[in-house]
Amino acid sequence: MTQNQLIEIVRKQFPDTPVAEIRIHLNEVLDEFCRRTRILPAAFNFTTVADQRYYDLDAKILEVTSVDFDGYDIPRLTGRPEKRDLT
Amino acid sequence: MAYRDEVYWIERDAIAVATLDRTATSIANEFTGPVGSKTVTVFAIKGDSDFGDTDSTTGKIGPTESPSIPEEFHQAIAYGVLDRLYAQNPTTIQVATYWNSRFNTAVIEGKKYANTGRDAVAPKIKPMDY
Repeated sequence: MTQNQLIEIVRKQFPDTPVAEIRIHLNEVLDEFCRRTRILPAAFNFTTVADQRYYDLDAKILEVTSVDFDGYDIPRLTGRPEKRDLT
Repeated sequence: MAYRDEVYWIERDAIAVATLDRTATSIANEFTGPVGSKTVTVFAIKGDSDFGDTDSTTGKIGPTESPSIPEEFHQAIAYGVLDRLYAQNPTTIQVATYWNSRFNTAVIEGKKYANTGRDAVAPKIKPMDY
């Protein structure tokens, strides 16, 4: 079902509501649906830089389920290292 | 048996990767690195793209494009919008409750769909010891 079809369903009952306002609600509801159902798995890649620890996560990521390093599953550290290094 | 010495953690909307030195004698030397030019793959649950006003090369869902969630749940997005719009008017709160119920039913079905194990891997809890 396309965005236009979704908007058409809403406008059958709210014909005077601007499309831009409906689109704002569509985005909020789609975000809520994905957050509550956890229905969209995905994988993201990046390449390490020597001695750089931190890499930004994609803004659409809701939860990290596992991480591979060089093709191998690596464990998640509970908390963080006692000695901080913010590089 | 060899083990990978890399670990990861999540902090401030970023992922951190480091190498654990199992023989370190002080906290300061416990984590190093990581080495460069290695591919890190982050497996995650993500949200869908936003709806936009043009068919896209921008990563948004255009007017003639569809969300990535399974087709059977597309209509539920309209239910949620109807819930919100009817809830704006106190005289139609009852109608909003109806659409909210339809939306919540779809969310429950969506959770079931997400947990059907389509990848043939049973859910597991990984023990960690750090």
